Amino acid sequence: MQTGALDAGAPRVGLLGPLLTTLLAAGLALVVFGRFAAERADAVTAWAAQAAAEALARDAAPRARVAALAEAGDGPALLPRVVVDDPAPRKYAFLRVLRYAAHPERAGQGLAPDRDADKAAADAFGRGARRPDLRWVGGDVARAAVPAGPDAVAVVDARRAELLASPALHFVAVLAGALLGLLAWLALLRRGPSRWAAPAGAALTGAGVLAALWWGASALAAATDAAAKGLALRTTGVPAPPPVAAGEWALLFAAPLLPLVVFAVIGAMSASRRSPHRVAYAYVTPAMLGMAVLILVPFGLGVALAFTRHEHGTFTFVGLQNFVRILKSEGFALTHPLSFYFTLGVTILWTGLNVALHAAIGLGLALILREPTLRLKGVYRVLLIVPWAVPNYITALIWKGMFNKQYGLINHLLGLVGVEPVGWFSQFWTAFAANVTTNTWLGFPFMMVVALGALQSIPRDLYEAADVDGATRWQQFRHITLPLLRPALLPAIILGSVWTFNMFNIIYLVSGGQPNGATDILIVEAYRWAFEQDRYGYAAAYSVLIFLVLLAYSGLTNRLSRSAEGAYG
Amino acid sequence: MSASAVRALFATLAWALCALGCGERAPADARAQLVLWHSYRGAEEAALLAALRRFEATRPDLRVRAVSIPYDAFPNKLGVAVPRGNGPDLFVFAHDRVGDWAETGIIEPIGFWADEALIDRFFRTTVSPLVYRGQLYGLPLAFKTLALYYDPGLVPAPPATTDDLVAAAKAARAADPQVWGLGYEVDSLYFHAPWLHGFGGAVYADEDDTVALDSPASAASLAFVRRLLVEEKIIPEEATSALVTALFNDHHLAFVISGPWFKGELAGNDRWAVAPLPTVSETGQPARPFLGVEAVLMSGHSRHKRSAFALMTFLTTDAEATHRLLEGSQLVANQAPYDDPRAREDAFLRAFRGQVEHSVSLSNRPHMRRVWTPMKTALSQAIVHGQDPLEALRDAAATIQRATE
Amino acid sequence: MSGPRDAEPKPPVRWGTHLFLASFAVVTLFPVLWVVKMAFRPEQTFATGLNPLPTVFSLDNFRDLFAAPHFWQQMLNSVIVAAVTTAAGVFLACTAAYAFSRFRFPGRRAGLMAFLVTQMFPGTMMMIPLYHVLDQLGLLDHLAGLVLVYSTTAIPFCVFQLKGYFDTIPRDLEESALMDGASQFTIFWRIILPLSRPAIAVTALFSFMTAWNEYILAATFMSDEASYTLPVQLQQYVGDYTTEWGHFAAGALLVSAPVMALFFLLQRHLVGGLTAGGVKG
Repeated sequence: MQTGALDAGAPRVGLLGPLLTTLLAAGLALVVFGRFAAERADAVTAWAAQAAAEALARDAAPRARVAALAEAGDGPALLPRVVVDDPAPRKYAFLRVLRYAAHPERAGQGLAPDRDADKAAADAFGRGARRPDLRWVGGDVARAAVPAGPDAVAVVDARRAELLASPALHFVAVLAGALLGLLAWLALLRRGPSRWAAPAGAALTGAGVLAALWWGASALAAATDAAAKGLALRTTGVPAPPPVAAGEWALLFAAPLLPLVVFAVIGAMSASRRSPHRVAYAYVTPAMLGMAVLILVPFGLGVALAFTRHEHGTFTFVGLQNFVRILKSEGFALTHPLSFYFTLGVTILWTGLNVALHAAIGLGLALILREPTLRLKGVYRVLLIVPWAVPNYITALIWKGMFNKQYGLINHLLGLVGVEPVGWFSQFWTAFAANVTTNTWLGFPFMMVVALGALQSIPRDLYEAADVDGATRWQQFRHITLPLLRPALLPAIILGSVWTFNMFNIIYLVSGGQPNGATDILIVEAYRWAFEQDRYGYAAAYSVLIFLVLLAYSGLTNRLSRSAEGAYG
Repeated sequence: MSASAVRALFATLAWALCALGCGERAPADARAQLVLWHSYRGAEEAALLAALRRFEATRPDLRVRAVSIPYDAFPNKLGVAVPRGNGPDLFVFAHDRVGDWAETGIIEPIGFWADEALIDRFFRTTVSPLVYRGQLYGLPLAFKTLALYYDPGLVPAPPATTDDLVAAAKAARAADPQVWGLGYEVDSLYFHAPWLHGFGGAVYADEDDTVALDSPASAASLAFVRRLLVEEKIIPEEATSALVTALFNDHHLAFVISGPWFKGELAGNDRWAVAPLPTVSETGQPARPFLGVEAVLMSGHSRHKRSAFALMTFLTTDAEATHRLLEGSQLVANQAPYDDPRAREDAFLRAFRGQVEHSVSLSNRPHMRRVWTPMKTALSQAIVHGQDPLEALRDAAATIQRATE
Repeated sequence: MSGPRDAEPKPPVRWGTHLFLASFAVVTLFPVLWVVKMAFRPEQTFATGLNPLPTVFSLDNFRDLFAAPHFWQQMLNSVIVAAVTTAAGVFLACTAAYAFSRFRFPGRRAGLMAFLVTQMFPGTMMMIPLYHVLDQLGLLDHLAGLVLVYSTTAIPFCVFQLKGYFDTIPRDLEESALMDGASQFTIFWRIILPLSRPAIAVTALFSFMTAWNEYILAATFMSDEASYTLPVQLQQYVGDYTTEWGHFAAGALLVSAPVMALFFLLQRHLVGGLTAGGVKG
């Protein structure tokens, strides 16, 4: 299929893609490191304060050292100020605040002080029950407090460490990574003298990129930790607690680059056989990069949520329990409107009906509107696109108003032909019909536009030849238009059905799930679990199930697309 | 466009991206900045901004930046932003999520700075919604509750009991068949609450998690409304808020149960009045709606807590509250402003102030959020479709109980 | 070349078509008339009733909208975000779709499936993890963050649509150009793209709409009123118990106008393509 002539990949071909990718990668690295450094500074300040406070609590000797430091204004912007509280109402007031942070369940004692509970909470706090929100008191000051004996509390205020004095450090790391990335691409696209040069070059530079990132992150982490340790040692004689691993940062940044590297390596390895693949990867990768970072990573986090149970702000791992409960349709009969299977059925019916209507109406209108002899085509097209253009929040509510039993327009019109007023939202089928009507009104313009574009791909001479052969309009439609439309129309239909499956707005606004949750589709159920019932884990499990259903559906449509591609050979 | 020009364009774009990313650390101002999030609009927003400017005048070392956030994005935004340190120092919002936020550390207990003298200036019922597990989490700015709006042209005097209400509604309807008697959303627990509490029912038994909805008293309240809908026929079917507003403005509706926000819908209407809700004739108890509080809360991750507390106290002084009451027509939670002669003359303010005494604080615990949707089903089934009320309530209670597990 | 197909249809057919289209347009526009009615009357209540025709024409709502602080800044933000999303979406999707269509490389099927699969994740569940990711990247409260997220939402459809369209362009066009000595990029830029104008117009419009109308992510990721986009500003009018429908309707009309204008501009590209050029070059 690909002739040798297509091998003539001029260097000019691929530079744009890799240049863009490299620059984007450099930009991303810069912002990531900036964030990283800022968070490190916060963490280090808090640790320093904690270390100093713990040391003070154990031993009064460092007190003098720290006080001297405070007087002299010594140290890089990290200035501990020590307060050792004597027994006083103030202690209880402060500890009261500590109490609720460390152990919310013990906080039911009202506003009066409770010495035992206070002490227990302070102990827990001192043992490392970290609640970073309490460490920032005013300005850039972190406060740590630990009990220093039966009647005293050691409180240390530490000002935030300005550890970004060496941006050069991480900028160098980023630049190195960017240059290495650029080299990797050039290695891919340029044909080397030996068949192993390109793949080896690609593998090496890929590894080099990752190493540069890891080095940069670790170096930065080490620098900040050294500063923290040095300071804690100087003030109190006790080393700071161990820092957060730098590895997770490097990994987060490296993860989106992994598909890039994999593509590069695969491309390089097959370079010896078919060089156009390099070009192909160059073309495809910029789009894939964004996907990886902005969709795969959040999706991974979302899936992880599905295995947890959310209660009062904490997530506990519960394995497959959420899935089992949903699939067993716990507490509901299988045909109950709130059971998973009923909702699944409603969702499938909803999707199928909508897509069929959108496609039929859109295609029909497009066929009419592309007649070259029709005047005012442009005007009609612009008017018919209005439902898509107006925000659907307001139009959905207008449709809901039109379906009102007593004062709605639809019943009024039906009354003109002698039909009794229908309670649209009090039975399932009528509420479902109202939803479908609204969504069809909203959705057909999109299909119309796509069909208009798709119809342009069919060469006119086919129709003229068919006219010469004496075929009727209907035969031409069935045997020329429909088959040749498939490649161009199928994407919109497939993706349109996926979007309709997850169409939240209309169901929520028009029928609101009436009657009694029957017309809710899966995505609305998931939303209710998450935001009305606070069961984020359950909702995440619902979402994963939705995803699996759609994945199975895409397996089916894959075959359709394959055969559609064959239409043009 | 030539290929080199395209390349140049994209290179510029990419560098712009980097520059945007680097530019996040703004230079520090000598004055500390407090950030306050709210979802006010119009006159209320203007009143709040004026109050913030007055505060800045008293504290030259502080600047306050107010950011308006759309209401339905507010809780999510808080939930994601605050734990990561990107949130505000203070925010103004309804109290119903105080329990959630307290558990997750999003709000700061202000008991450390507050004292009894500070709390005394508010109505007690407006302070308790902000207390969770014995801790005070914010200061109330305003309260929202339900009262009875009526059309003086259709109804000569406000009814004292529900029997009076029904009689007046029927009389109005008899005089003009186009007129409806009472309009409100019958399937919403929030609007049904006055009757629920008036008949002696309750949602939860005290402070624990036992659902107390399936009681004969609660069932009686549902039966009462069904009687009004089906037998007395004074409530229109499928009454949405838009419909109720339209009917009332057209003078085709005698009574409406709604809150202070309804006044804003009556802009062109010159014939309306408001009174406290009547007493339930069957039990002799006043109809007691839910009381919601709009409060100023402090973020648990704020870096300027002391200054934030100063702003909170400033916004809730009696002087500031009087401004909000008289200029913004806000139902403030302070007691003193209502004694102002101008406030006493205003029937609207009097009616709602009267209702404060007879209202039930909406629970701020997370368990309250699970109640609305199952109760919507129960109310709809019992009142509109005629299911036995006790059965419908039992189903709802079972659903709520299951959600707790 | 004209034939029986190009002749004017008989008058009854012509009038019938116009009648059908006109009545369809009326039915389509009917609900929108209520929006117009609400926008042009000073009350803030929702319009109920049977008659959607406006009876008053007051510009108060529009005046209030324009006078809102930051309105023009927010309009500009929306334009920037939508324009860059369209550019990025179309450009990146074109190159990727071309590769998927023309080249048979390992990972091709998987790549296509990946694009489809990313569309299946329910968006509401992704909001919190997406916030975390953007926070790590430091792109919160920056328009660049929104652009990035919208582009990744729009690209899958664009890739699919363009690939499907590229599939319909016969390969012999390219092969004959190659034999004449043209480079790959020249073929892509000078031959394939002009022939795909309809598909590009569709994807451009779609990308624009995705970015222009999106509300929830913009409201969550932006923390400064000057950085809001128009839909967020519009949603400000939706309160906890009441909505200012007059302002909202006026805003809805303002928000729809640029889309209609863009479509009007793009629709002449929806005709063209293979019917305009010659296969036998």
